[in-house]
Formats: sequence, C-alpha cells, structure tokens
Amino acid sequence: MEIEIERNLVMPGDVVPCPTGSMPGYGTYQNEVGEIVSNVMGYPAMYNRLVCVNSLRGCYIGETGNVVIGRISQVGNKRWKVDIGASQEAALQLSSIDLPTGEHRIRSEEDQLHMREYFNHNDLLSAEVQSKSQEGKAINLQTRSSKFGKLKNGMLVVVSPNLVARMRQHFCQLNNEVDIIFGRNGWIWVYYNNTNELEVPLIRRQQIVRISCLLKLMNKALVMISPEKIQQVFERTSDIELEDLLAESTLERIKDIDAVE
Amino acid sequence: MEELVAEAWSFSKSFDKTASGSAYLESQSHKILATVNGPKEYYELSSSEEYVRHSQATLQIESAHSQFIKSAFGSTILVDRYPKAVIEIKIQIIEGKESTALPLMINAATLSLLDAGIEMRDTLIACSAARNGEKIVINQEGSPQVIVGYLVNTDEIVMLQETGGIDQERLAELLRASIDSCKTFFNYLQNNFN
Repeated sequence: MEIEIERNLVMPGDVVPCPTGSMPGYGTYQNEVGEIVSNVMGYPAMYNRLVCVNSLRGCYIGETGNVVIGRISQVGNKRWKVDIGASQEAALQLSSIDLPTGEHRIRSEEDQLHMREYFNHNDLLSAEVQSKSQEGKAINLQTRSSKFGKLKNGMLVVVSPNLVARMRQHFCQLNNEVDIIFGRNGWIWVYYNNTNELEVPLIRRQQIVRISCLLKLMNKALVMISPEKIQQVFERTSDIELEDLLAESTLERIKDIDAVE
Repeated sequence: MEELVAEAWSFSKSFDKTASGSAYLESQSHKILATVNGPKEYYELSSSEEYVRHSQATLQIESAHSQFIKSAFGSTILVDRYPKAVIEIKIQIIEGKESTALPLMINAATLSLLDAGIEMRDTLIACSAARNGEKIVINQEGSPQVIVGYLVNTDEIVMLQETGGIDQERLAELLRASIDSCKTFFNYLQNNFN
C-alpha cells in the first residue's frame, strides 16, 4: 500500500520527513545520525515502513516479473546481452528462451550455433525480468512464453520509465486496430498484430504513427501512461490531422488529463 | 558588513531529449551547456587490472577543468550504486571566459545530474568569492579568489581552489561569503526546479 508523505519535492541530501522506525528504500540512504536522506530529486512515498523517493526521471530499476522491451547488443557464447535502458545491460540465457520448434530439452552445442537465428544483433524483443542479482543491478531476462519474443511490424517509443505503472495487462489492443506492448522500462512497442499479411497496410501504419505521437506527447506532458489514458487522449485529439499532432497546441489539450479521471 | 556583488543567472533543463539529463545555465558573463549520459554499460573493461571498475561506476568528464570537476563529483555521486556502468558528463562553455567558468560549470553539471536522476549523496553547489577592491564579488573576477564546491545539506566542502595570496582572515571571510551564496543558490534551485 502506498502512502504519500508530503507532496514536496526533495533534492539529494534533503532529509525525508518520516515517522520513526521507517526503513530506507530506493532513492534514499541512511546517514550517520539515522535520518533517512534522499539521494535523487523527486517526490517521497511510503510503502508500509519503507520510505522511497520516486525520481522524476532516471534510468530503469528492474523488478522481477516486469515486462520489458529491449534491444540485443551482444551475442555471446550461451547468452545474449540486452540493452533495456538500465544502468547495466541485462542477460538473456540461451536456456531461458522458447525454441521456435516449441520443444523442451537441454540446449546443445548445436543450439549455440543457431543463436543468431533466434535473436541477432540489434533485434528488438519483449521479455520478462526473471531475476535480479544480489546487489540488485544485474538483470536476467526470460522469454519462456509464446507472447514474448522478437518484435516486428511496429514502432518503438521510448518514454520515461516512471510513467509506465504496473498494469493488469501489458499486452493490449486499442480499438481493435493497433496492438501495444508496455515495457516497464519505458520502452513501448506499437505494432500491427496480424501474421497472415506480409505487409502492414497504409491505414494501419498511419494508426501506429498516430499512437506513437500520442505517447510522445503524453511523455512530454508527464501524463501516466495506460491503455485507458491513451484511449482518452486519442478521443480528445481525434479531430487533429496526423501532421499537426506534435504541435504545442495539442500538448495544452492533454495536460489536464490526469486531473479529469 | 561588506558589500556583496553577485551576478544574476537563470537555468533551464531537459532541452536535449536524447541525453539522460541536460541543463543550460546562463549568467551575465557566461552561457554553459551540460549533458549527462548514462548510467550505461561500460565496455572497456579489462578483467584483471581494473577490477575496481566492476564494483563502481566510472565517471567520464569532457570539459575544461575536468580534473577538478571529477574530484568534486567523484565524492558526491554514489558511484557504488552503479557497478560496471559509466556516467558521461559533458560541459561546454558557449560564451564567457574559461578561467572564471568553473563554479558555473559545476552548477550546470549538478543540474543535469539531477535531471538525469542519478543518485547523489547531496546537492553539490559551487561558488567563487573574490575580493575586488573593498567589495567581495561572487562568481566574478578578482584577486585573491576562492572557488568552493559545497554540499549544502551535509555542510561539507568537497572542492577548494585558491588563487592569489590569501591570509587566514581573508580566507575565512571569502569562505563565509561563498558558502552563504551557495546556500542562497540552493534555495533558489529548490524553489524553481520543476
């Protein structure tokens, strides 16, 4: 459960006002006197006894079970290195992917030779955070489900990771037209999900660009991103031509969307 | 009480969407840009000799006075929170003298680090105080001069540079003046950062 302490911006080094017996969480540390001190700029929040500071911007801190989107940066011996926008690159082991044939077996040397066929350098993929190392920085990924894997027929939008909250469904469809994958690392994949057609039709491509523009606007206006919010923004801006969507005047229209609910 | 002369200045942040954090600082005599990239994976690791780099972040600073800036931020940024990573800080003086730019460069770097959301022990603010005839001037040329890098909340000096002959009494006076203006600076920052 989240309790807001005070909606006051704290700077690094500021003491976070909190009841005695609180423990320092992320974005904070304890000084010599025992006070809890912020180490980022942001708004403090309290989860039971844990005091945290949510920074306004900042890189992604992984959590087990998060859906993320990443880009392969290295193909190694038995693992891939994946850039997910965190302070370190995540690792995807050969043993934690689904083979295209769907078999379940121990990976052989034969599989190691085929690694570039599964995921090659610069490929985009969706995955889940399987585990984090002890000190909490090294991240392991897995794609052991049919919904994860290589991405195609779409467009990547990178927003602030703080704007993508945990939601019931990270894979969703908007208006029966465009599919979206919300990565908790702030990378959002907007795509056309139809395996029968080889090429994405023009109208779908325009819809994908439209949603991508809306996501960029929401990022600029610091609006929390969720399927419902995108739907609202979509309705509010439906009369604007695609070419004029990224103008300042559109930004004004969606600024108050968090307040309306 | 001696007269203080200080320059007015302003800042803006997040102008560069491709960097993790950025800030622009402008005073009457200087225009300074700072961008921060990272923390991101540090590739140039050689396994044995640079073992330290595995346990903490490396700071890469590209600017004038980079040694001073590195030593000041090395003790402020919590580098052990970012193992195997690199944080790049680039500071450019667009306008103004390089010799007097150091405090403003540090402030610009602090702003961009805040913008990037990088974990720091405290907010580092720098100021210079110098004597110009009978007056004490802040962030302006003069001799003797001290440049102070100050952690406002923990009340610590992490960087100190002196030029010109300073006796004990003068030093205390200049230090007090620069620390005071660091605090004022910090308050201004806190009220205007949004």
